[in-house]
Amino acid sequence: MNERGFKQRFATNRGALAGLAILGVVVLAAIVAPLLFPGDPLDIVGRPLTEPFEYWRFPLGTDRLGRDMLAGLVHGARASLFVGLVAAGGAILIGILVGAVAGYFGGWTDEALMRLTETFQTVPGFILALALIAVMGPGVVSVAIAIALVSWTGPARITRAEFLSLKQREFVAASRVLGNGHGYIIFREILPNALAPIIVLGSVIVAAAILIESALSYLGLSDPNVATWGQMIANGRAVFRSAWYVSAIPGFAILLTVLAVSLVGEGLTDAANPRTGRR
Amino acid sequence: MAPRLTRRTVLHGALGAAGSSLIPWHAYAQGKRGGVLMVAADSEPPHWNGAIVASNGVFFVSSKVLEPLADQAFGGSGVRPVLATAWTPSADGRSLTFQLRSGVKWHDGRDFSSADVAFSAMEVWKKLQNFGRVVFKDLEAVETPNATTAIFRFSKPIPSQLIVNALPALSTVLPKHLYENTDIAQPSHPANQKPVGTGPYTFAEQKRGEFVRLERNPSYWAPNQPLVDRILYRKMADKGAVAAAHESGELHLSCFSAVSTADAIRLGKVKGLQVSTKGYEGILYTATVEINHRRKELADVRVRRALRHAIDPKFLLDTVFQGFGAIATGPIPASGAPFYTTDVAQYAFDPARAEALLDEAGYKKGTDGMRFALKLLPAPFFEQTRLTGDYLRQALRRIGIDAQIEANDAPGHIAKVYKDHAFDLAVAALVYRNDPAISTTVLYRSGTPAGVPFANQYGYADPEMDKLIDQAASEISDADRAKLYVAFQKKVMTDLPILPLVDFPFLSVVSDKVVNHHNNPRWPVSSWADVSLA
Repeated sequence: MNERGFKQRFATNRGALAGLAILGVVVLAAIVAPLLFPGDPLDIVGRPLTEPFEYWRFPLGTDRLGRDMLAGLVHGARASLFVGLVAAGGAILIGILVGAVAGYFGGWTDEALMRLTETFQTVPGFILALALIAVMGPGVVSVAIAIALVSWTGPARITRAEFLSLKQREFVAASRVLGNGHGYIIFREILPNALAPIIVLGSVIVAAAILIESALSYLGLSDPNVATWGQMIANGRAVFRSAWYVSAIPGFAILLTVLAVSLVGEGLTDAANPRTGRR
Repeated sequence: MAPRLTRRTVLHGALGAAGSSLIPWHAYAQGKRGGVLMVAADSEPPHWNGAIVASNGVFFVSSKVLEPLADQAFGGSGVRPVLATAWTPSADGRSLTFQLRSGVKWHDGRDFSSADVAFSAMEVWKKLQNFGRVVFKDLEAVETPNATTAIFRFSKPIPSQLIVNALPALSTVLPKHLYENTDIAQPSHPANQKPVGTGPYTFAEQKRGEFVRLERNPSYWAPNQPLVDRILYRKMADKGAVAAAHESGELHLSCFSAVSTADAIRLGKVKGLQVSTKGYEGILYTATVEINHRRKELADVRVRRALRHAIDPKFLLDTVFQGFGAIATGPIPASGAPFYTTDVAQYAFDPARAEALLDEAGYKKGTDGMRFALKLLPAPFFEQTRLTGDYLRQALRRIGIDAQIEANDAPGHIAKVYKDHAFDLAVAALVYRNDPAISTTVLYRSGTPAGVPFANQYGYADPEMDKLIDQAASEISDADRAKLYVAFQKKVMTDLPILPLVDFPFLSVVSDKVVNHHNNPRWPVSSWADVSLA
């Protein structure tokens, strides 16, 4: 694949660039959160339920207990991105291992691993995540682990498919003739060639993980000592009719972030497969 | 009490007071006959036997079907006769004679008699009921010289005041002929699923997850009552659905804060609807910080006082409770006359004082600004306790205590706090039931076995406190009893074994079409015999 062509194709995709820009802002917010809002974002700093722009001290207003919405939003970006990246990373790692072993060795190993994958695929992901957290106890890390454990099946199937086709190629046969072991062939020869579609899928998983994390923390299954967007929405639910912004602002943040990640993912897909472009 | 509803609440209260003093009680019964009262269902307990489980969730439905010997009332002695018309204690405090109402029939047509009362007291309240097991533990026998007299005999002197105060919640009478020689406590018992009582409404039908239907009892003992033809408890999806149903006029009534406090304030301004905190005086809750004395830091009274100085109950009242409630001065709420006293140690909101107390106790701030860490478990049952937990975490961090919230589901919370004692601090809403000996002293008396919820599972044991509680439990003079409970409140507020913060009522939303509502101190769990629809 032509490296230059890839970059060029991505750079001419306006949607992807917009997504990258939004994502950049969110990442920046997560990085500078402790500088912008030192101290605990859950601290009660003002009068409860001041509206956005009512006071410049709290540009996005305060919630039911008088916590600064902007501080919560900026710190919440850290939890969302942390969970999104760790969960997607974990899911891809598990998926690659399972898919590579299944695709490379075939036979009964493939049968066993694919039946396991199907078992996970048939259980609704969100329900399984709920059950896993009930066992592990609520918390940011357990949420990340739970999401990773319910989203590795996609990468596993794609990796397996790539391995099934790639292992027939001459360069694999050549490597085998040279006396290289299975591990070397899997990770040094085949995997680098199979990686592109897996990474594209990764962006989809990041977006899904951010959504699941928000839903779980909305249900009170995240760490109550850490500010998260889902929790902020849940806190605002009781006052939704009188102070809609308490739920709407973090909701909008989730929407933007997930949209940005999806746009970037689409841009990567289009850039990686120029012939399947939809334009 | 409720700043944003002052005018309405005051008006309501004034009219209610004027009504009760000027108009004789039977004038109430002149309301219009007929109509279906639509109510938002509360919880769906496994059965409706309010004699076994004195719980508001059961009473909300069962109190219309099954009746107690007496119920609470505003004014006067505070108690209103229901199935008993009069009661006389003996001078030695060892017996109490009840005169029972005559001409009362069970819903299946049998006559109600003293045998039913004797059976309920000996076989149900004393043996099976959560509170009755303590209050009636010394009940030896119930004699029934005739069909309308029941004499309760105790093995040692018992304050008759305690028994009378216990009647509203603890004396639900069951029909002997349906329960004798059966497994009374079995939830699937036919009469527990479809209760048969003496009340103004008969239990007609229940569809789990959908509704409960009660029908008018045409042969009720009170003349011209009840007035409505039917009560329908509709199961609603969530608090938002209840609020919407109120606005569309589909519901006449919801109780126990079935809508969020913020929505209630909004609905209170809608034409045709009103919000009431009246009618909950007898079932008031106290938001309380429970403390595990097994932690060496928390066993030190200076640390507990520091915790109390770090908390601003006024802020909690204004934000978490939106003004509905009052700052708690001690373990008994202000409505708990004649026991209530304000003559107790007071703790101002003063974080500087709290820090000084912690320094004095030897817990200096570390390099990270924290003195020690505590595990904080807010009860998940109520929005108010969860938010109080959020506030508490921040308030304690301000004085250098690193409070970490741990969220659990309801069964998990009860097991961790009341059985495994795996907590440092917890936030609870503890109910006050009309007499300190029923609901309150259990929180301070030592020796409760692990696993009994809403009791002293705090590892707090003080011989002086135990002595005071035991003395009051067997003191038969009303005046001396009250004095002992004043001493008890002083001791609680000096020792601070746990921290009562805010006394709060639940909220009802009610349509203007409903007549005669919230007219007694535990109205949502009373009989509603006088309710009518305009």
